[in-house]
Amino acid sequence: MSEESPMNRGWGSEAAPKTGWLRRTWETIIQSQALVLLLFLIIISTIIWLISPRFLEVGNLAVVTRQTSFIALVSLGQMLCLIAGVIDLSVGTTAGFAGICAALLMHNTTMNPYLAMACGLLVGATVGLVNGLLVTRVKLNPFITTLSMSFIISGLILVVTGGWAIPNLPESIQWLGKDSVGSVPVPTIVTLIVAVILAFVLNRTFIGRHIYAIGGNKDAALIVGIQVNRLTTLVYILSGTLSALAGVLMLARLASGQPTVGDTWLLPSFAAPILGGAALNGGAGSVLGTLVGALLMTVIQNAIVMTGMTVYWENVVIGLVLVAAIVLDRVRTAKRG
Amino acid sequence: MTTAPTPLAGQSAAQDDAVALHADQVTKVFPGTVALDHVDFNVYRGKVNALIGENGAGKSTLMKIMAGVERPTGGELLLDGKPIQLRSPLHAEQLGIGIIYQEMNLCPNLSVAENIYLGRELAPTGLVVDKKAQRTQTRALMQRLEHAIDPDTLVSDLRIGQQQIVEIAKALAQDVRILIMDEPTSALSASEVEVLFKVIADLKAHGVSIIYISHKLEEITQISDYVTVLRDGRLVAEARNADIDVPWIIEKMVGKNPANLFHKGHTEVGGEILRVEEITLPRLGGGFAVDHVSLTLRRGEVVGIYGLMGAGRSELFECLAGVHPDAGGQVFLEGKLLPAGNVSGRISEGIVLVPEDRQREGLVQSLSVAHNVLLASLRNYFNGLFLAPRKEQTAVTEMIKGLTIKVADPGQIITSLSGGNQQKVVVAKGLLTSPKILLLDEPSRGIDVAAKSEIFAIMERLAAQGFGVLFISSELKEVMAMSDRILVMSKGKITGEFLREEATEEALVAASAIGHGAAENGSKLATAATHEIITA
Repeated sequence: MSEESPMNRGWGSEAAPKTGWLRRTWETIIQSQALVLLLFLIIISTIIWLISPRFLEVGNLAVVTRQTSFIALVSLGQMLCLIAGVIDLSVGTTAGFAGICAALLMHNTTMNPYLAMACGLLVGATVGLVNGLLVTRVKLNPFITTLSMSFIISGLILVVTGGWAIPNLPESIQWLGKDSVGSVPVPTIVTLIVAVILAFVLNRTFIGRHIYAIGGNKDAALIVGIQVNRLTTLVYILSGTLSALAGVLMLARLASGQPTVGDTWLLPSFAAPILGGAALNGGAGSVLGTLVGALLMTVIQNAIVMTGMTVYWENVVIGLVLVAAIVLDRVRTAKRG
Repeated sequence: MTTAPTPLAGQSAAQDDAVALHADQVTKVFPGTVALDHVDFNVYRGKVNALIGENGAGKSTLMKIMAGVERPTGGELLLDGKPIQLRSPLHAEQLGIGIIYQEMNLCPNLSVAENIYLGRELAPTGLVVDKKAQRTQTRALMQRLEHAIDPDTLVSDLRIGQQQIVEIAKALAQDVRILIMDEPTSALSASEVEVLFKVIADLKAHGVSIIYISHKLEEITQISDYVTVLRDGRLVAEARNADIDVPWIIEKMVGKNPANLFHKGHTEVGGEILRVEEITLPRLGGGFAVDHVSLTLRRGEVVGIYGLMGAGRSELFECLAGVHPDAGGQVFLEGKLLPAGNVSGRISEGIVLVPEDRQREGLVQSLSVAHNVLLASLRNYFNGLFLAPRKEQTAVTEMIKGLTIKVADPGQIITSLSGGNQQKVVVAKGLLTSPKILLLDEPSRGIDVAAKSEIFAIMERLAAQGFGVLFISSELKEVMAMSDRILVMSKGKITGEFLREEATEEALVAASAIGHGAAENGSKLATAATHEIITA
């Protein structure tokens, strides 16, 4: 039917874009948080490179991408939670705990080290399962529940390690953390594989669309028969598992079980997805955006080192970036509302 | 009721039509109330079965039982004569019973196509969603509904009326045999209603049975084949639409003669209280949402503003209430020019807005009736630093009595009230700010006839007390019954002004279509030949 027929009068026809695909593509680009962020990243990188040319050396870039992969994995878990309209404050400690559990198994038993790492992932999944059940079945508030869980786990880490590192881990696992394929570090490759799978699940499968639906309007999701509780629990399990994966890779990299691993990962886990377009009140978020967000966080950390600032600035800067991310979220919500 | 009950279906009303779904002596008891008391309800195959009743009459409970949301305490449902027990909405859907909810059940963050296929994605391989097929089929559905909504548009970018269309498309996408429509037209413009009615006719032709719930009685007599009236959880009457008329329905609904149910009496109109000059509000992406509007309002006058959805009526009110700081133009209250202000400034000057969307803008859902009433005027109830509970209580009690708000206790949570009473709370909240001008945006939307007439009585009384009252309504009959003067808006401009005596439905409708390229006849009458008028 013609654009001007009576049925289209009023807001419908006016809301529709009046120009062709060029305008539409441009709007998509503008609206795509990931691409805007990427542009920002390039600008920041250029500035850092001007101050310290070593920044763009292959060696340093490998350091940055390796470092990014840990933050990115944890952030992807957090992103899933944010999309579904919940949060997970235990991602950092779960990562640490999974690493410690795997380390203990390697240190105290003759278990195959890879199996021990798998057990670490299982620990992460279990933490997620408990979080999920508490939130969906017992109907507890996600914030307090996962915060408590975080405390419990960090306490457990101290209980089992006494605060000491677990040394003498098998050398056979170290390639997972330290080696590179060409000049791409293994953890980066693992992260990219995970990211591709996640992106596929989120965008192309009904499970992914349902997770977005839950975050967008839980009641609407319930009414069409989506298993809201089950999917939310699944999201927590994935968040726990992805955090555990980060923890276990870190274990391989450090070749010892450090009780402090993951301590500083919580704030970046929010900053990365929100910078990348995730909404604090649920229903939005993208894998690409989260990856770029995580990269940006790491680049900023790296810049502090490269430009010779004292590392004590790190927390200040990360806090500021998170505030900036929330302001961005606020602006987006206001625009939408 | 003193008259003998109308003969019930099965006995005489409908021998020739088959019953697709039958509610047999259905009872639903909630703690403290009996929502449904042994109700029989017939859904005739391929017919539009209207279900009518005031809010609280039990029609939404009955609807929820038929949609599988609630389970009956007693009685049963018979689908094609066989008893069924619905376990969930999904189960009802599997049996071919679909529902279009009144409140929007869409995910704002998903696209139109994704919403339509939410929970039943087209996934040939079982996991991967075939987005292309969903898009194509959505486009086909939209064509059927005569709407050019792009399947990829995010629902959050749609207007309420368009969202309603998506809700309808969502139901059409399923293969339903029985379709429950809960106030499907409450957010639609007249022309959109016409399209909906065409779709309903089409569904009927395909043997789909429609359960149609609406407060708009004219609509019901126009579209339905059978009419069932509930009151206080009981079945009052079932009849063929052909045998009845609007007064009959109202009588059954409220149990009294509806003559003069709402009709504004004569009030003394005083001097000018409000003058508005050249109000403009630019619209995002060019043009004006409110396009150089000027108007005056006199003391004791009730002025109704009629127009189609999107005509700029709500936006005009928002400008007057100080919601849009970027609005242009001048507002004179009692001859005094008001500074371009914000909302609290305008409230303290005496202009108060009762918004259209009660749920979202009018009430704080988590608070009690009393707290909601006091919300806008809290500053009047401070004793120095602290709130003065006794002063609060007096004010709340007076309002509850004055507006006859039906509550057991002012501490009751707001959501436990019926729509009409919630609306009165919103009005009460506005009145406590001691306004001079009252702006009511669709004050009667979604509330039943009796509550409507009470709201109108309140408006009339306020006018008599010397307030200036401006109200928006999309219902012709209401505007004509309630206003001393009627303004018609279209495309952001005032396109018509009528005194009550000289206003006719035709004139109002014609004025509301000005600027749309042709003199569209947007009347709800089925005879209007809208589709023949295509603009050049």
